[in-house]
Amino acid sequence: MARMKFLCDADRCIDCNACVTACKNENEVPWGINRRRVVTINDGKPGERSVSMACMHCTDAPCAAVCPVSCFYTTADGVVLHSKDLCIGCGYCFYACPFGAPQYPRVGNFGSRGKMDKCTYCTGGPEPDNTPLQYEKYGANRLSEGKLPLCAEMCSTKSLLAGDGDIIAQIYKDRVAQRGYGSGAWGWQTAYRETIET
Amino acid sequence: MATLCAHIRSIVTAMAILIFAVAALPATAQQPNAVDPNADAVKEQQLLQQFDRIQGLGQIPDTRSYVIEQPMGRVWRQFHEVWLHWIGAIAVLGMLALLITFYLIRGMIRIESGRSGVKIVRFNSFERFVHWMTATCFIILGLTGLNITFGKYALLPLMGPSAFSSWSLAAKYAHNFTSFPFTLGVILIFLMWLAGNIPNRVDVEWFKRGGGMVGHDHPPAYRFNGGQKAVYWIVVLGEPRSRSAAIC
Repeated sequence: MARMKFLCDADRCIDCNACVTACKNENEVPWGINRRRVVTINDGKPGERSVSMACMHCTDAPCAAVCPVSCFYTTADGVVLHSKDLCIGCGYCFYACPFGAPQYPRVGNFGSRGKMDKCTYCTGGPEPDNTPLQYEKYGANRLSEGKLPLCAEMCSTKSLLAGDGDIIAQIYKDRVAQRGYGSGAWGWQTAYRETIET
Repeated sequence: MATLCAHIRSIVTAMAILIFAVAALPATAQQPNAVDPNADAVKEQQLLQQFDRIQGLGQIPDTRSYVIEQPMGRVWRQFHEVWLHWIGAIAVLGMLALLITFYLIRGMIRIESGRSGVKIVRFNSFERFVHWMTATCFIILGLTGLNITFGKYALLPLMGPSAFSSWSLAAKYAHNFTSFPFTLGVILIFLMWLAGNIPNRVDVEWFKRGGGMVGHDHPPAYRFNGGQKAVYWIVVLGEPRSRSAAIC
């Protein structure tokens, strides 16, 4: 089985936010929730870089480790998913997540956040694949149709890569070798405890 | 003198020209490839070493999302999944073991000469209400808190994921809501019984004589004895810690 990963080539990201829009549209994400966002570091200064970040689907995921009701599971493709039926909206996963991926539909008193929502790598959730029930709770299930997450598929500069970790790492390596520079695979060391040697 | 100055000046000038020529030489040679688009580029590892989190500027109203990487979440996980389990288990099981040991050694402490039949009001109805409101909240907070930390090991295998989730959701709300009357209760307890809980010399004597718990002595005390005062201060000073837990 493949080990699905995301890789944002920050030297190519033009901060167009198409990935954010595509994700919202494809998954019908509720108002106020951003499964993916683009953040610009050193905005307006020489050497600024934009990075598109969502759930990185970590190896040994911290969210899964701290969940008090164990509602997370990892698919055979290495995608970290969770059950909204089991989630109690405690917010622990947000504290533990290195990438700020978990989102909550409400900001209420007394911990009434609602069920957690996060990037599913366009893989749906525990419900049967490609059912309206699955779509309503978790959004699209493109992986089961042999497609990659839409954010990466429609990235205009091919900055955001999705796919098997080894393949996208090789693509990134080749790019760095050809153009002579690369600011690194953002988040890989934190998420996968490995980085791409270039 | 003038010739010496002129001599020095010409040497300095010659050296300056030489240094300039040497410095300029590689610069002109490198000119075509000198533009490095990556020269000032931010590097992930460098940023993490400097600030231990990476944040920038985003376009959405949620400013928390501007932090794209914070490996410190690992510390939070380590505390919650490792340290808290040990601290909690040692505190709860250790206290239980102490109480059982004490009970087995000392047994139940009865009134030596039986009840006198005369009742004296020590606490008025308001004090009793505040005490039991706080005690009820404490028990609910304790059980639901233990559920959040240990439930997935102790109850989840017994109850199954669905029932355990429903119970944990109710427990979470119970925990969040009862924290407020609990805090109110502790504040009222602090104010109501502060005057009777200032430590004094009688308490030293009380502790020296084992407080009647060890041996069969009857050391004197005012409204609250030394042991009760100790519990009072543990509860009152322990409250800010539970506040911090409520904020988290």
